Amino acid sequence: MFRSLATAASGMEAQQTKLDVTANNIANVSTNGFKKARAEFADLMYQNMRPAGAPTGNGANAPSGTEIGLGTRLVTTARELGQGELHQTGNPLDIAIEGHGFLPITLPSGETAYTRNGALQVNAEGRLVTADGYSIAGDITIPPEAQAVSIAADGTISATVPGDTQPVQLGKLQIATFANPAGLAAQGSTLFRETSASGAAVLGTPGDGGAGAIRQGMLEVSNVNVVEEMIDLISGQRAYEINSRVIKAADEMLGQTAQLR
Amino acid sequence: MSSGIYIATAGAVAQSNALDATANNIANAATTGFHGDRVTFREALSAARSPDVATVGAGTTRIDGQAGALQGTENPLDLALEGDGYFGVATPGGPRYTRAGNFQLDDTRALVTTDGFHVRGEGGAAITIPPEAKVVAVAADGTVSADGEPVGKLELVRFAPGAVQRQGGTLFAATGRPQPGDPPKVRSGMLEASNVNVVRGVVDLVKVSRTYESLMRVIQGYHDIESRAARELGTPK
Repeated sequence: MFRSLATAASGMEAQQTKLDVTANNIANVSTNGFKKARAEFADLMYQNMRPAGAPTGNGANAPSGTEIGLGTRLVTTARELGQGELHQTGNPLDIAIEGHGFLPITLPSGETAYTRNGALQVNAEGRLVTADGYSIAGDITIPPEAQAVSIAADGTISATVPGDTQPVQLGKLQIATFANPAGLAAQGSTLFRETSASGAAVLGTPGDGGAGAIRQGMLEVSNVNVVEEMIDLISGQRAYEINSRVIKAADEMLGQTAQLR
Repeated sequence: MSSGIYIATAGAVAQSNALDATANNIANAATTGFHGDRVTFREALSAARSPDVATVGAGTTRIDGQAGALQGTENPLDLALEGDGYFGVATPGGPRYTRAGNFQLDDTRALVTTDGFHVRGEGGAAITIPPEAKVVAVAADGTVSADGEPVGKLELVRFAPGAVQRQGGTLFAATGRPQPGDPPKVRSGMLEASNVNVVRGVVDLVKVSRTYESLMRVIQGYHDIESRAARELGTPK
Protein backbone atom coordinates (compact mmCIF):
# COMPACT_ATOMS: atom_id res chain seq x y z
CA MET A 1 0.00 0.00 0.00
CA PHE A 2 1.09 3.56 -0.46
CA ARG A 3 3.18 5.12 2.30
CA SER A 4 1.27 8.30 1.48
CA LEU A 5 -1.79 7.20 3.45
CA ALA A 6 0.15 7.05 6.72
CA THR A 7 2.24 10.10 5.79
CA ALA A 8 -0.84 12.24 5.15
CA ALA A 9 -2.44 10.89 8.33
CA SER A 10 0.60 12.11 10.31
CA GLY A 11 0.18 15.50 8.62
CA MET A 12 -3.50 15.66 9.56
CA GLU A 13 -2.73 14.69 13.13
CA ALA A 14 -0.05 17.40 13.32
CA GLN A 15 -2.43 20.07 11.99
CA GLN A 16 -5.09 18.92 14.45
CA THR A 17 -2.62 19.41 17.31
CA LYS A 18 -1.71 22.82 15.93
CA LEU A 19 -5.40 23.72 15.91
CA ASP A 20 -5.77 22.52 19.52
CA VAL A 21 -2.83 24.69 20.61
CA THR A 22 -4.19 27.69 18.69
CA ALA A 23 -7.65 27.16 20.18
CA ASN A 24 -6.20 27.19 23.71
CA ASN A 25 -4.21 30.34 22.93
CA ILE A 26 -7.31 32.12 21.61
CA ALA A 27 -9.44 30.89 24.52
CA ASN A 28 -6.91 32.49 26.89
CA VAL A 29 -6.60 35.79 25.07
CA SER A 30 -7.87 37.65 28.13
CA THR A 31 -6.30 35.46 30.83
CA ASN A 32 -3.91 37.59 32.86
CA GLY A 33 -0.38 36.22 33.00
CA PHE A 34 -1.11 33.62 30.29
CA LYS A 35 1.81 32.60 28.06
CA LYS A 36 0.96 31.33 24.60
CA ALA A 37 2.21 28.00 23.29
CA ARG A 38 3.42 27.18 19.82
CA ALA A 39 3.34 23.69 18.29
CA GLU A 40 6.63 22.76 16.66
CA PHE A 41 6.97 19.91 14.19
CA ALA A 42 9.83 17.90 12.70
CA ASP A 43 9.94 15.41 9.86
CA LEU A 44 9.89 11.67 10.58
CA MET A 45 12.53 9.26 9.37
CA TYR A 46 13.33 8.66 5.72
CA GLN A 47 13.39 5.46 3.71
CA ASN A 48 16.67 5.66 1.93
CA MET A 49 16.08 3.70 -1.27
CA ARG A 50 19.31 4.69 -2.95
CA PRO A 51 21.99 6.79 -1.28
CA ALA A 52 23.39 9.85 -2.98
CA GLY A 53 26.73 9.09 -4.56
CA ALA A 54 25.78 5.49 -5.42
CA PRO A 55 27.32 4.34 -8.69
CA THR A 56 24.88 4.55 -11.58
CA GLY A 57 27.07 2.60 -14.00
CA ASN A 58 29.28 4.04 -16.72
CA GLY A 59 31.59 5.23 -13.95
CA ALA A 60 29.19 7.96 -12.82
CA ASN A 61 27.71 8.51 -9.39
CA ALA A 62 24.17 9.63 -8.58
CA PRO A 63 24.30 13.30 -7.57
CA SER A 64 21.26 12.84 -5.35
CA GLY A 65 19.74 9.78 -3.76
CA THR A 66 16.19 8.54 -3.35
CA GLU A 67 14.88 9.34 0.08
CA ILE A 68 11.18 9.03 0.78
CA GLY A 69 10.04 10.69 3.97
CA LEU A 70 7.36 9.18 6.16
CA GLY A 71 5.60 12.25 7.49
CA THR A 72 5.74 14.65 10.39
CA ARG A 73 5.59 14.56 14.18
CA LEU A 74 4.99 16.98 16.99
CA VAL A 75 8.25 17.77 18.82
CA THR A 76 7.13 20.29 21.36
CA THR A 77 4.47 22.78 22.30
CA ALA A 78 7.02 25.45 23.15
CA ARG A 79 5.79 28.13 25.52
CA GLU A 80 6.61 31.64 24.41
CA LEU A 81 7.47 33.57 27.53
CA GLY A 82 7.59 36.99 25.93
CA GLN A 83 6.30 39.81 28.11
CA GLY A 84 2.58 40.50 27.81
CA GLU A 85 1.39 44.10 27.82
CA LEU A 86 1.05 45.77 31.22
CA HIS A 87 -2.38 47.24 31.85
CA GLN A 88 -2.94 49.85 34.52
CA THR A 89 -5.72 48.89 36.93
CA GLY A 90 -5.08 51.22 39.87
CA ASN A 91 -5.86 48.38 42.29
CA PRO A 92 -3.05 48.38 44.90
CA LEU A 93 -3.03 44.58 45.11
CA ASP A 94 -2.62 44.09 41.35
CA ILE A 95 1.03 43.54 40.53
CA ALA A 96 2.85 42.79 37.31
CA ILE A 97 6.37 41.45 36.80
CA GLU A 98 8.36 43.52 34.37
CA GLY A 99 11.10 41.22 33.14
CA HIS A 100 11.87 37.59 33.83
CA GLY A 101 10.63 35.47 36.69
CA PHE A 102 7.55 34.16 38.44
CA LEU A 103 5.78 34.70 41.76
CA PRO A 104 6.12 31.62 43.99
CA ILE A 105 2.78 30.31 45.29
CA THR A 106 2.21 27.73 48.04
CA LEU A 107 -0.46 25.23 47.02
CA PRO A 108 -2.75 23.68 49.69
CA SER A 109 -0.71 20.44 49.26
CA GLY A 110 2.38 22.32 50.43
CA GLU A 111 3.99 22.21 46.98
CA THR A 112 5.29 25.35 45.36
CA ALA A 113 3.91 26.56 42.04
CA TYR A 114 4.84 29.64 40.04
CA THR A 115 2.70 32.23 38.28
CA ARG A 116 2.91 35.56 36.49
CA ASN A 117 -0.72 36.39 37.20
CA GLY A 118 -0.46 39.08 39.85
CA ALA A 119 -4.16 39.79 40.51
CA LEU A 120 -3.74 39.35 44.27
CA GLN A 121 -6.39 39.52 46.95
CA VAL A 122 -6.64 39.28 50.71
CA ASN A 123 -8.52 36.29 52.14
CA ALA A 124 -10.58 36.02 55.33
CA GLU A 125 -7.46 35.53 57.46
CA GLY A 126 -5.87 38.62 55.96
CA ARG A 127 -3.37 36.58 53.99
CA LEU A 128 -2.23 37.67 50.54
CA VAL A 129 -3.60 35.11 48.02
CA THR A 130 -4.02 34.64 44.27
CA ALA A 131 -7.43 34.89 42.60
CA ASP A 132 -7.74 31.11 43.15
CA GLY A 133 -7.07 31.53 46.87
CA TYR A 134 -3.56 30.05 46.96
CA SER A 135 -1.25 31.88 49.34
CA ILE A 136 1.78 33.76 48.13
CA ALA A 137 4.94 32.04 49.37
CA GLY A 138 6.23 33.72 52.51
CA ASP A 139 2.75 34.01 54.09
CA ILE A 140 2.30 37.75 53.92
CA THR A 141 -0.57 38.98 56.08
CA ILE A 142 -2.16 42.37 55.69
CA PRO A 143 -3.93 43.54 58.88
CA PRO A 144 -7.56 44.58 58.34
CA GLU A 145 -6.91 48.08 59.62
CA ALA A 146 -4.06 48.64 57.14
CA GLN A 147 -4.45 51.54 54.75
CA ALA A 148 -2.61 52.53 51.63
CA VAL A 149 -0.86 49.26 50.89
CA SER A 150 2.16 49.90 48.74
CA ILE A 151 4.30 47.36 46.93
CA ALA A 152 7.71 48.64 45.88
CA ALA A 153 9.61 47.60 42.73
CA ASP A 154 11.85 45.42 44.93
CA GLY A 155 8.80 43.58 46.34
CA THR A 156 8.65 45.28 49.74
CA ILE A 157 5.02 45.47 50.93
CA SER A 158 4.24 48.24 53.37
CA ALA A 159 1.08 49.86 54.68
CA THR A 160 0.13 52.60 57.06
CA VAL A 161 -1.87 51.61 60.10
CA PRO A 162 -4.00 54.09 62.06
CA GLY A 163 -2.04 55.66 64.92
CA ASP A 164 1.28 55.20 63.19
CA THR A 165 2.69 57.92 60.97
CA GLN A 166 5.39 55.76 59.45
CA PRO A 167 4.39 52.94 57.06
CA VAL A 168 5.10 49.49 58.50
CA GLN A 169 6.77 46.80 56.44
CA LEU A 170 4.47 43.78 56.15
CA GLY A 171 6.63 41.46 54.10
CA LYS A 172 8.63 41.09 50.96
CA LEU A 173 7.74 39.41 47.68
CA GLN A 174 10.34 37.28 45.99
CA ILE A 175 10.71 36.39 42.34
CA ALA A 176 11.71 32.90 41.19
CA THR A 177 13.80 32.64 38.05
CA PHE A 178 14.70 29.49 36.15
CA ALA A 179 17.59 28.47 33.93
CA ASN A 180 15.09 27.34 31.31
CA PRO A 181 11.63 28.81 32.02
CA ALA A 182 10.28 27.21 28.81
CA GLY A 183 10.81 23.85 30.53
CA LEU A 184 8.24 24.58 33.28
CA ALA A 185 5.17 22.33 33.32
CA ALA A 186 1.87 24.19 32.89
CA GLN A 187 -0.59 23.31 35.66
CA GLY A 188 -3.60 25.31 34.51
CA SER A 189 -4.85 28.45 36.32
CA THR A 190 -1.69 30.17 34.95
CA LEU A 191 0.35 28.12 37.42
CA PHE A 192 3.60 26.42 36.48
CA ARG A 193 5.56 23.70 38.24
CA GLU A 194 9.30 23.18 38.36
CA THR A 195 10.65 20.24 36.28
CA SER A 196 14.06 18.71 35.65
CA ALA A 197 14.12 20.56 32.32
CA SER A 198 13.44 23.97 33.86
CA GLY A 199 16.16 23.63 36.50
CA ALA A 200 15.69 24.57 40.15
CA ALA A 201 13.99 27.85 41.06
CA VAL A 202 16.37 30.64 42.07
CA LEU A 203 14.67 33.01 44.50
CA GLY A 204 15.77 36.59 44.27
CA THR A 205 14.84 40.16 45.04
CA PRO A 206 12.64 41.67 42.33
CA GLY A 207 14.60 43.95 40.02
CA ASP A 208 17.91 42.43 41.08
CA GLY A 209 20.06 40.31 38.76
CA GLY A 210 17.90 38.38 36.31
CA ALA A 211 14.64 38.81 38.27
CA GLY A 212 12.01 41.22 36.96
CA ALA A 213 10.80 44.23 38.92
CA ILE A 214 7.35 44.48 40.51
CA ARG A 215 4.94 47.09 39.17
CA GLN A 216 2.08 47.89 41.51
CA GLY A 217 -1.37 48.75 40.16
CA MET A 218 -0.75 46.93 36.91
CA LEU A 219 -1.55 43.52 35.47
CA GLU A 220 0.26 41.62 32.78
CA VAL A 221 -2.28 40.54 30.20
CA SER A 222 -2.04 37.44 28.02
CA ASN A 223 0.76 37.58 25.43
CA VAL A 224 -1.52 36.02 22.78
CA ASN A 225 -1.72 38.03 19.58
CA VAL A 226 -5.15 37.38 18.07
CA VAL A 227 -4.09 38.27 14.51
CA GLU A 228 -1.21 35.78 14.59
CA GLU A 229 -3.51 33.12 16.02
CA MET A 230 -6.09 33.72 13.28
CA ILE A 231 -3.41 33.27 10.64
CA ASP A 232 -2.30 30.04 12.33
CA LEU A 233 -5.92 28.92 12.40
CA ILE A 234 -6.40 29.54 8.68
CA SER A 235 -3.10 28.00 7.62
CA GLY A 236 -3.65 24.99 9.90
CA GLN A 237 -7.15 24.40 8.56
CA ARG A 238 -6.00 24.60 4.94
CA ALA A 239 -3.02 22.34 5.56
CA TYR A 240 -5.37 19.82 7.15
CA GLU A 241 -7.61 19.95 4.10
CA ILE A 242 -4.71 19.45 1.69
CA ASN A 243 -3.41 16.47 3.69
CA SER A 244 -6.87 14.94 3.42
CA ARG A 245 -6.69 15.45 -0.36
CA VAL A 246 -3.51 13.37 -0.39
CA ILE A 247 -5.41 10.55 1.30
CA LYS A 248 -8.17 10.89 -1.29
CA ALA A 249 -5.66 10.82 -4.17
CA ALA A 250 -3.94 7.73 -2.74
CA ASP A 251 -7.32 6.09 -2.24
CA GLU A 252 -8.35 6.80 -5.86
CA MET A 253 -5.06 5.42 -7.14
CA LEU A 254 -5.50 2.26 -5.10
CA GLY A 255 -9.09 1.99 -6.38
CA GLN A 256 -7.88 2.18 -9.99
CA THR A 257 -5.29 -0.51 -9.27
CA ALA A 258 -7.89 -2.72 -7.66
CA GLN A 259 -10.07 -2.46 -10.78
CA LEU A 260 -7.39 -3.94 -13.05
CA ARG A 261 -8.27 -7.44 -14.05
CA MET B 1 3.83 -11.04 -23.72
CA SER B 2 4.61 -7.52 -24.83
CA SER B 3 7.10 -5.60 -22.77
CA GLY B 4 4.89 -2.49 -22.63
CA ILE B 5 2.98 -3.75 -19.64
CA TYR B 6 6.22 -3.81 -17.62
CA ILE B 7 7.12 -0.32 -18.74
CA ALA B 8 3.72 0.91 -17.58
CA THR B 9 4.16 -0.94 -14.27
CA ALA B 10 7.56 0.70 -13.76
CA GLY B 11 5.88 4.04 -14.46
CA ALA B 12 3.14 3.30 -11.90
CA VAL B 13 5.75 2.37 -9.26
CA ALA B 14 7.63 5.60 -10.01
CA GLN B 15 4.42 7.63 -9.71
CA SER B 16 3.55 5.97 -6.40
CA ASN B 17 6.98 7.03 -5.10
CA ALA B 18 6.25 10.54 -6.33
CA LEU B 19 2.95 10.45 -4.44
CA ASP B 20 4.77 9.38 -1.27
CA ALA B 21 7.28 12.23 -1.64
CA THR B 22 4.46 14.73 -2.27
CA ALA B 23 2.57 13.41 0.77
CA ASN B 24 5.67 13.93 2.92
CA ASN B 25 6.09 17.47 1.61
CA ILE B 26 2.48 18.35 2.40
CA ALA B 27 2.61 16.66 5.82
CA ASN B 28 5.61 18.88 6.64
CA ALA B 29 4.05 22.12 5.42
CA ALA B 30 4.17 23.38 9.05
CA THR B 31 7.63 22.03 9.97
CA THR B 32 10.10 24.81 10.76
CA GLY B 33 13.24 24.69 8.60
CA PHE B 34 11.89 21.86 6.45
CA HIS B 35 13.00 21.69 2.84
CA GLY B 36 10.77 19.63 0.56
CA ASP B 37 11.77 16.93 -1.88
CA ARG B 38 11.48 17.15 -5.65
CA VAL B 39 11.16 13.87 -7.48
CA THR B 40 12.85 13.52 -10.82
CA PHE B 41 12.60 10.53 -13.09
CA ARG B 42 15.07 9.31 -15.57
CA GLU B 43 15.02 6.75 -18.27
CA ALA B 44 16.38 3.41 -17.23
CA LEU B 45 17.55 0.59 -19.49
CA SER B 46 17.79 2.94 -22.45
CA ALA B 47 20.95 1.09 -23.42
CA ALA B 48 19.28 -2.30 -23.07
CA ARG B 49 19.23 -4.91 -25.79
CA SER B 50 16.49 -3.37 -27.85
CA PRO B 51 16.50 0.38 -28.52
CA ASP B 52 12.71 0.63 -28.34
CA VAL B 53 12.54 -0.87 -24.86
CA ALA B 54 13.10 1.86 -22.37
CA THR B 55 11.59 2.13 -18.96
CA VAL B 56 11.60 4.55 -16.08
CA GLY B 57 13.63 4.36 -12.90
CA ALA B 58 11.98 4.48 -9.49
CA GLY B 59 12.60 8.24 -9.28
CA THR B 60 15.28 10.27 -7.56
CA THR B 61 14.50 12.71 -4.81
CA ARG B 62 16.36 15.96 -4.64
CA ILE B 63 16.16 18.39 -1.75
CA ASP B 64 14.54 21.63 -2.81
CA GLY B 65 17.20 24.13 -1.77
CA GLN B 66 14.97 27.19 -1.98
CA ALA B 67 14.73 29.00 1.36
CA GLY B 68 11.38 29.08 3.14
CA ALA B 69 9.71 32.34 4.13
CA LEU B 70 11.08 34.05 7.24
CA GLN B 71 8.55 34.57 10.01
CA GLY B 72 9.15 37.00 12.84
CA THR B 73 8.68 35.56 16.36
CA GLU B 74 10.42 38.19 18.57
CA ASN B 75 12.12 35.37 20.50
CA PRO B 76 15.90 36.04 20.36
CA LEU B 77 16.65 32.30 20.38
CA ASP B 78 14.56 31.69 17.25
CA LEU B 79 17.15 31.83 14.49
CA ALA B 80 16.77 31.69 10.73
CA LEU B 81 19.51 31.26 8.17
CA GLU B 82 19.68 33.58 5.22
CA GLY B 83 21.60 31.91 2.42
CA ASP B 84 22.75 28.40 1.79
CA GLY B 85 24.02 26.45 4.81
CA TYR B 86 23.20 24.79 8.10
CA PHE B 87 23.54 25.07 11.88
CA GLY B 88 25.72 22.37 13.47
CA VAL B 89 24.01 20.09 16.03
CA ALA B 90 25.76 17.58 18.32
CA THR B 91 23.85 14.28 18.50
CA PRO B 92 24.90 10.99 20.10
CA GLY B 93 25.49 9.75 16.53
CA GLY B 94 27.92 12.57 15.72
CA PRO B 95 27.49 16.02 14.23
CA ARG B 96 24.29 16.68 12.30
CA TYR B 97 23.10 19.75 10.48
CA THR B 98 19.78 21.59 10.47
CA ARG B 99 18.10 24.73 9.20
CA ALA B 100 15.44 24.65 11.92
CA GLY B 101 16.65 27.36 14.31
CA ASN B 102 13.84 27.07 16.90
CA PHE B 103 16.39 26.71 19.68
CA GLN B 104 15.76 26.68 23.42
CA LEU B 105 17.82 26.51 26.60
CA ASP B 106 18.05 23.34 28.66
CA ASP B 107 18.43 23.03 32.45
CA THR B 108 22.15 23.81 32.18
CA ARG B 109 21.30 26.89 30.05
CA ALA B 110 22.98 25.38 27.00
CA LEU B 111 21.46 26.12 23.59
CA VAL B 112 19.56 23.03 22.37
CA THR B 113 17.29 22.05 19.49
CA THR B 114 13.63 21.14 20.11
CA ASP B 115 14.75 17.50 20.36
CA GLY B 116 17.23 18.46 23.12
CA PHE B 117 20.48 18.10 21.13
CA HIS B 118 23.17 20.67 21.86
CA VAL B 119 23.72 23.29 19.19
CA ARG B 120 27.37 23.23 18.13
CA GLY B 121 29.51 26.28 18.57
CA GLU B 122 32.65 26.72 16.51
CA GLY B 123 34.91 23.75 17.25
CA GLY B 124 31.95 21.67 18.43
CA ALA B 125 31.54 23.08 21.96
CA ALA B 126 28.05 23.74 23.35
CA ILE B 127 26.97 27.37 23.80
CA THR B 128 25.92 28.21 27.36
CA ILE B 129 24.18 31.40 28.43
CA PRO B 130 25.14 32.60 31.94
CA PRO B 131 22.17 32.60 34.37
CA GLU B 132 22.43 36.30 35.19
CA ALA B 133 22.14 37.32 31.53
CA LYS B 134 19.20 39.57 30.83
CA VAL B 135 19.56 40.18 27.11
CA VAL B 136 20.63 37.42 24.75
CA ALA B 137 21.46 38.46 21.21
CA VAL B 138 22.69 36.60 18.17
CA ALA B 139 24.56 38.56 15.53
CA ALA B 140 24.39 37.95 11.79
CA ASP B 141 27.74 36.12 11.85
CA GLY B 142 26.45 33.71 14.53
CA THR B 143 28.11 35.31 17.56
CA VAL B 144 25.94 34.69 20.62
CA SER B 145 26.25 37.36 23.27
CA ALA B 146 24.74 37.71 26.73
CA ASP B 147 24.38 41.32 27.94
CA GLY B 148 26.80 42.36 25.20
CA GLU B 149 29.53 39.87 26.17
CA PRO B 150 30.22 37.18 23.52
CA VAL B 151 29.64 33.68 24.94
CA GLY B 152 30.17 31.65 21.77
CA LYS B 153 29.79 31.53 18.04
CA LEU B 154 27.42 29.20 16.20
CA GLU B 155 28.91 26.68 13.82
CA LEU B 156 27.61 27.56 10.36
CA VAL B 157 28.52 25.29 7.48
CA ARG B 158 27.76 24.88 3.82
CA PHE B 159 27.61 21.63 1.89
CA ALA B 160 27.32 20.73 -1.75
CA PRO B 161 23.65 19.91 -2.56
CA GLY B 162 24.24 16.15 -2.80
CA ALA B 163 26.53 15.92 0.23
CA VAL B 164 23.79 15.76 2.87
CA GLN B 165 21.51 12.91 3.77
CA ARG B 166 18.18 13.27 5.53
CA GLN B 167 17.93 11.90 9.06
CA GLY B 168 14.43 12.97 10.11
CA GLY B 169 13.83 15.55 12.82
CA THR B 170 14.89 18.19 10.23
CA LEU B 171 18.46 16.95 10.70
CA PHE B 172 20.89 16.09 7.95
CA ALA B 173 24.04 13.98 8.10
CA ALA B 174 26.97 15.07 5.99
CA THR B 175 28.32 12.65 3.42
CA GLY B 176 30.98 15.07 2.21
CA ARG B 177 33.22 17.80 3.52
CA PRO B 178 31.94 21.31 4.27
CA GLN B 179 32.37 23.68 1.36
CA PRO B 180 34.38 26.86 1.64
CA GLY B 181 32.66 30.14 0.96
CA ASP B 182 30.61 32.68 2.85
CA PRO B 183 28.60 31.06 5.65
CA PRO B 184 24.89 31.92 5.78
CA LYS B 185 23.76 34.95 7.77
CA VAL B 186 21.87 34.41 11.02
CA ARG B 187 18.65 36.36 11.61
CA SER B 188 17.63 36.42 15.26
CA GLY B 189 13.95 36.57 16.23
CA MET B 190 12.90 34.84 13.04
CA LEU B 191 12.17 31.32 11.91
CA GLU B 192 12.43 29.84 8.46
CA ALA B 193 9.05 28.31 7.64
CA SER B 194 8.79 25.11 5.63
CA ASN B 195 9.60 25.80 1.99
CA VAL B 196 6.78 23.53 0.84
CA ASN B 197 4.42 25.35 -1.46
CA VAL B 198 1.05 23.76 -0.88
CA VAL B 199 -0.28 25.00 -4.23
CA ARG B 200 2.55 23.16 -5.92
CA GLY B 201 1.84 20.18 -3.69
CA VAL B 202 -1.79 20.04 -4.81
CA VAL B 203 -0.78 20.43 -8.47
CA ASP B 204 1.77 17.61 -8.04
CA LEU B 205 -0.95 15.54 -6.44
CA VAL B 206 -3.29 16.03 -9.40
CA LYS B 207 -0.48 15.35 -11.87
CA VAL B 208 0.62 12.18 -10.10
CA SER B 209 -2.87 10.76 -9.74
CA ARG B 210 -3.76 11.51 -13.39
CA THR B 211 -0.52 9.99 -14.68
CA TYR B 212 -1.10 6.97 -12.51
CA GLU B 213 -4.63 6.67 -13.88
CA SER B 214 -3.33 6.80 -17.47
CA LEU B 215 -0.76 4.14 -16.69
CA MET B 216 -3.49 1.95 -15.23
CA ARG B 217 -5.39 2.40 -18.52
CA VAL B 218 -2.27 1.36 -20.43
CA ILE B 219 -1.96 -1.77 -18.30
CA GLN B 220 -5.66 -2.45 -18.80
CA GLY B 221 -5.19 -1.93 -22.56
CA TYR B 222 -2.39 -4.50 -22.76
CA HIS B 223 -4.47 -6.83 -20.67
CA ASP B 224 -7.42 -6.43 -23.07
CA ILE B 225 -5.22 -7.00 -26.13
CA GLU B 226 -3.75 -10.12 -24.66
CA SER B 227 -7.00 -11.58 -23.46
CA ARG B 228 -8.49 -10.88 -26.89
CA ALA B 229 -5.53 -12.51 -28.59
CA ALA B 230 -5.90 -15.54 -26.34
CA ARG B 231 -9.63 -15.69 -27.04
CA GLU B 232 -9.57 -15.15 -30.79
CA LEU B 233 -6.36 -16.86 -31.74
CA GLY B 234 -6.44 -19.55 -29.13
CA THR B 235 -9.96 -20.81 -29.91
CA PRO B 236 -9.95 -23.63 -32.48
CA LYS B 237 -12.04 -22.73 -35.54
